[in-house]
Amino acid sequence: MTPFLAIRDLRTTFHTRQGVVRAVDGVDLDVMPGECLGVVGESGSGKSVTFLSVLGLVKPPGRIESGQIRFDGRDLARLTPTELRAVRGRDIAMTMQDALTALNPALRVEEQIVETILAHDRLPRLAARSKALDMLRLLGIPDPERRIRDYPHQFSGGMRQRVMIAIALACRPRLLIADEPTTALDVTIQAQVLDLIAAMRRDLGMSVVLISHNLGVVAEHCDRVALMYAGQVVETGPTRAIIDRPRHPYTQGLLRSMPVLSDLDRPLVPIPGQVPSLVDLAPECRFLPRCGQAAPECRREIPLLSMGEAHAARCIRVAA
Amino acid sequence: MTAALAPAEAPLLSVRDLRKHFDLRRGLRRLTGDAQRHALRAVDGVSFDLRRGETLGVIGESGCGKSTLGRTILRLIEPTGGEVRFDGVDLGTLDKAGLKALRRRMQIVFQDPYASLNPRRTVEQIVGLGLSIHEPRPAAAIRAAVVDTLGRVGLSSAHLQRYPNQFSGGQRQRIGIARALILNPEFVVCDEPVSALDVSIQAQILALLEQLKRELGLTYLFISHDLAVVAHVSDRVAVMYLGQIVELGPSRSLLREPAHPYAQALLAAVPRIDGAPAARQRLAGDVPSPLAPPAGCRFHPRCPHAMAVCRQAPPTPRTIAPGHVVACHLYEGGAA
Repeated sequence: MTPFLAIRDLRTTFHTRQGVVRAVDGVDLDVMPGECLGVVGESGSGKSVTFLSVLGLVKPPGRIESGQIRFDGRDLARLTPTELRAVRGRDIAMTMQDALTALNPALRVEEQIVETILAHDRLPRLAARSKALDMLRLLGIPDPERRIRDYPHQFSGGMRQRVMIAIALACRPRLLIADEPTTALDVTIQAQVLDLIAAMRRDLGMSVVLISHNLGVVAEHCDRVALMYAGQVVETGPTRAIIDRPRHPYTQGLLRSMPVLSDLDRPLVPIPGQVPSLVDLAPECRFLPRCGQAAPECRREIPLLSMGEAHAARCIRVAA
Repeated sequence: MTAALAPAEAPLLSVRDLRKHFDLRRGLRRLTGDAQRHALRAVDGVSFDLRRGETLGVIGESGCGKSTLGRTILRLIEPTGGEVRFDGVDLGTLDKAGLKALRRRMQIVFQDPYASLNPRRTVEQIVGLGLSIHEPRPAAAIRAAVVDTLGRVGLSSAHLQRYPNQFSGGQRQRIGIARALILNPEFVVCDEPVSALDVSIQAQILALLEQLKRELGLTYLFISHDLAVVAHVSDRVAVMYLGQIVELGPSRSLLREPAHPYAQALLAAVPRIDGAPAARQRLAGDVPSPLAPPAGCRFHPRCPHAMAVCRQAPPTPRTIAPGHVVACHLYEGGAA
């Protein structure tokens, strides 16, 4: 099967006073049609910047240095801003982590959804409005005829996240990128929103990229997962394989440091140290300073090494 | 309720019917004149005991009153009613000096290591401030105590003159912990101490809190919205909903077999990494406003087991197993 979205050797940097921050440094990712891909990483791992790059939403001082972003036979990295705008929203939509800041506080929800629909579809305003109402209804917002006249601050956190998903889904995109859709939400509301995204994916047949720092969230909803660390993908493969047989020391460390409800007797083992600065990175394994299994051979650039079954890790021990 | 929640030995901390209602008329409500619904019942009748050396976890969603509970216990916020006894002393009867003397034995670690440290103060000033207030002494002696405490939390004298912005989130939380520990407290409220941290750093801070508890014989009230985190650190767990404790019990048994329908729903909603999710009942709707909590049992509008009685009368807490108390009509008089 050909990937729906194929990212190859993407490099996005931010030119700051402290130096060049290599936020995304040689990322390869594929999203298959109808698939849900989980992208997991901690703050600063580059997971959001990777997908902001896909949509051409990286703002100066950030810029895409190189790489290919093939979507449906086209390289998005080479499109003009106008061409890219047509792709955004219609083909690929992204929801942001913080719905309160991502929505315009001065516009009624109605304006924000209808505006998105009209930007991509030549429809009479009334038809766009009824489409917006359908979307809110589909997302389980009670009393949509009344709520569509409300402003974002009048919604609760969970409802606001739904409004943002409604805007993202208004044009029935073929790929939804959900950036930490539940991080700001309470656990019971989080479950509602994730179930909803799963239902939308089924019903609308779209592909989903679920970006999260929470491996648990991803494990429940994604077929495949990619773990990012310091601007690189360090392990990728089927979700179960990664959780049952993690191969990269970072993935292993992450799993050992995560409290799990079903296994309370297992002591938590922290990963020592902290994420390296993304300025002046040495050409070596980025996890080296925190790795308990480091060897002299780790002091060089390590490629993603495959172990079959679409499972790969950026660690010399995979080859052994 | 009182008798049911009291463990056998004399508790270090004893909370009875603690209430904190925020009067919103002082703000916008005064202008709008809505005097009917002016009290936000953030904490509304909470009782529990905490043994020396124990960790009580408090879980609940945003707005359930868990942070207000911690702050009201420490009297960072004045309670509306109820009683807090610390080591036998009723905090409500103390004057300012008495409270100050007791307060050095009760400290707090805050959630946000970015907002809770003064950006214009050095680490030495931040960590040493409590000591200079409670035990004024020469700067050199305070510095020595600061260095000693920094050592306990995994920092060193090299960090003394640095400012908070020169530290990562995990290191900032270490500074916040050092600030709480420099006075050698017996009781520490940990208010979401790891929520702002990345997973790999979270485990470092949890391990540190655990180690300090062992070394210093601390007693924790550990407030968090993260059930797995609470489960890992707590001996007992209290589940809060709209200002009240709906279930309190030993952490293992409560988390293995939660009795209250809200506790059950909360647990079912936690994402699992261990295989496919079990068929779950999802909670519908949002938490109601604490300005107008539902009559009867506060959980009844969202409860899958709600009965007629739940809409009328608030449930009385019942002991269903040793040390395990539930406030739910399902467990009253064989109604289940």
